Amino acid sequence: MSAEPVLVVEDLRVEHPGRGGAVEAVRDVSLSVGAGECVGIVGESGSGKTQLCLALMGLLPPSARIDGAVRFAGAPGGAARAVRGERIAMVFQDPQTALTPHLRIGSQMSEVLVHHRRSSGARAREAARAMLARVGIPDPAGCLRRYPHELSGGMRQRVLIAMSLLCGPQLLVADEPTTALDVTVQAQVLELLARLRREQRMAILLVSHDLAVVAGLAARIVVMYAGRVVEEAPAEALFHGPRHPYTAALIACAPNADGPIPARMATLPGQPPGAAERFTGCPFAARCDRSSERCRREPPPMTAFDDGRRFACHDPLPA
Amino acid sequence: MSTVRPVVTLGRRMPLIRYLLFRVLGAIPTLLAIVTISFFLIRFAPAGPFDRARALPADVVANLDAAYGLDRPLWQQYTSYLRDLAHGDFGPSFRYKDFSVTELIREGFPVSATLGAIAIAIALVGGVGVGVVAALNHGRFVDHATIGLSVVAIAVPSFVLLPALGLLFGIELHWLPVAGWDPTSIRDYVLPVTTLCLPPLAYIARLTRASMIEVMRSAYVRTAFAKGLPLRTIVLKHALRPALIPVASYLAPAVAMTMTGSLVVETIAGLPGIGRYLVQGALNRDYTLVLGMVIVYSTLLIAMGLVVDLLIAALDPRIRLEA
Ligand code: SF4
Repeated sequence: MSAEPVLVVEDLRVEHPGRGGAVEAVRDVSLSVGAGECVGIVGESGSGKTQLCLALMGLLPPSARIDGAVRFAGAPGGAARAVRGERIAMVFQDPQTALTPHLRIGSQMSEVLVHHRRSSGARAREAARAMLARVGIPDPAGCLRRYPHELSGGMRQRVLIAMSLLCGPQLLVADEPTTALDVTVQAQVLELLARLRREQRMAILLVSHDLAVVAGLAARIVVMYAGRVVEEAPAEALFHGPRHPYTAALIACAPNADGPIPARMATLPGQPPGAAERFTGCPFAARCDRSSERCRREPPPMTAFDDGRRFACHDPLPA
Repeated sequence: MSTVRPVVTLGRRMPLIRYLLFRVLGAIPTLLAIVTISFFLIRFAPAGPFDRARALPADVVANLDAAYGLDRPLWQQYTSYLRDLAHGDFGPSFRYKDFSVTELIREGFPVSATLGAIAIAIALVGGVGVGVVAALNHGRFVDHATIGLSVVAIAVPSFVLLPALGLLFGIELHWLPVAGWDPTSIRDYVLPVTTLCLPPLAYIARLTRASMIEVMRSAYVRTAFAKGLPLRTIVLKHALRPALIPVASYLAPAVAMTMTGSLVVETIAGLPGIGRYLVQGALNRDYTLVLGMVIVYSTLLIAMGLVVDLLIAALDPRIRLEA
């Protein structure tokens, strides 16, 4: 773990008030991302990953209730909101819909620099062109003149990544950046992120439902379930010796990258709980094969260890 | 859509001209069909233009019929009407003696069209503005107030609104004339234009509000927020254009409707427009006048349909014009 963190999240809680009571999307999540570090967040859909990202960026709707602290080192007062798009940037899941359909790529990219850097239009365009070249767009000048619908999904995601990097952010939040792409393009985009992280010395918070996506890039992995962190560990340690039963189940379900793709992929039995559900004990109890009476009664406390590992389980797998 | 071929988007000269040509030529059979159907429909309605409560002597009716050509077979009347129409002649009015329909429309249409165009322009600018403000305050007081007021504006009929406005601003406050028409006096426009523009303004506000709320939730607006852009830029540059597409579609019927005049408004305010001709003409069996009005209305509707399609293509580059 790097010495000085760019992002510290403490006891973050996100609630959406609704008719049938508040929906708790994120519950008491704490984590930190060091300068230049890549941290992965893994969990099934509905585990609160996206809500967590939006909360970090200050992009939740005004009706959402947010508690806890998010401190971003690059911002005066620590509020990411003030420097979003500049020091902290985000790439979203679906490149098909994440670009404004009626604006040319050049216009959408250069406005970032015109706004944050007060660049002239011509200089902003030149910077945009250079950034498109860096993310591997074959004809960057031509791309600037294109509309989003004239590009392929992979190209659009590259454009979005390039757009997010224009101001040289210290932290990139990437929410499922490869999920909407086909497999070969996925690998290219991940490679690109890895290269850019080295070159730009920026931290990445890489969010995915897919352990395999996170595995190649993240030094540290945070596993989320039902809006909570259930386990965190250095990537190596997590893969070789998961302690939380949910992490173990995720690893068992992930297709082996090297081996043949199994005819029927193992899936976790049962459904992840909805965000509206409330728990007295461990949220994973209903699907856990190690659950006991105690698990259903009292919530497992988070236990932290010196090696940077922590998990919340009454009956963890042996180390 | 006879020849479906991908025609390149707006902005490239040649295909646009070809597209316009296709559309204009394509409008001719449509108009012909409308004229034909209307011609025979109104002829099959009972009674004729010279039937009065007190019946005219038979020989007078026979003379009138002969004078207007009503004694000829229907198909001959139809072909001679079409022949005249091809020369821009809508025929004589059956009711307004000594006036041809062409004259009636030529005199009245500018009045109705001017009032209507001003009303629609105000409705468009005002409605979009109100709709955007309501959408940005979604769920708050401004939003609820907009919805409430728009229901009132759409529901209150013009025969209530115009006299009420006249009573208040004309008779009580003496600010504006209640009725009368002097095309050079702006004051004469205020009350009728207000009455004409309120319902479309309210409707446009509601359309804009609904689509704006949806667009503001879209992924690309979220991207724009993530880029740290100010709200102004996000609304004006990223959100407004797609949000205007439903408004553009509504514009075709709204313009055709408003620019052909309102029976109620023009009658109450004493305006020499064409708003009363369609209803009056139909009641009086003034065949040529009704047909003339139908032609004016349909032409306007078809032309606006074309304008709206061009507008939508300009709003969204993904849409391709196909002829
Ligand atoms: S606390 Fe109990 S139910 Fe929850 S993961 Fe651990 S063993 Fe399973």
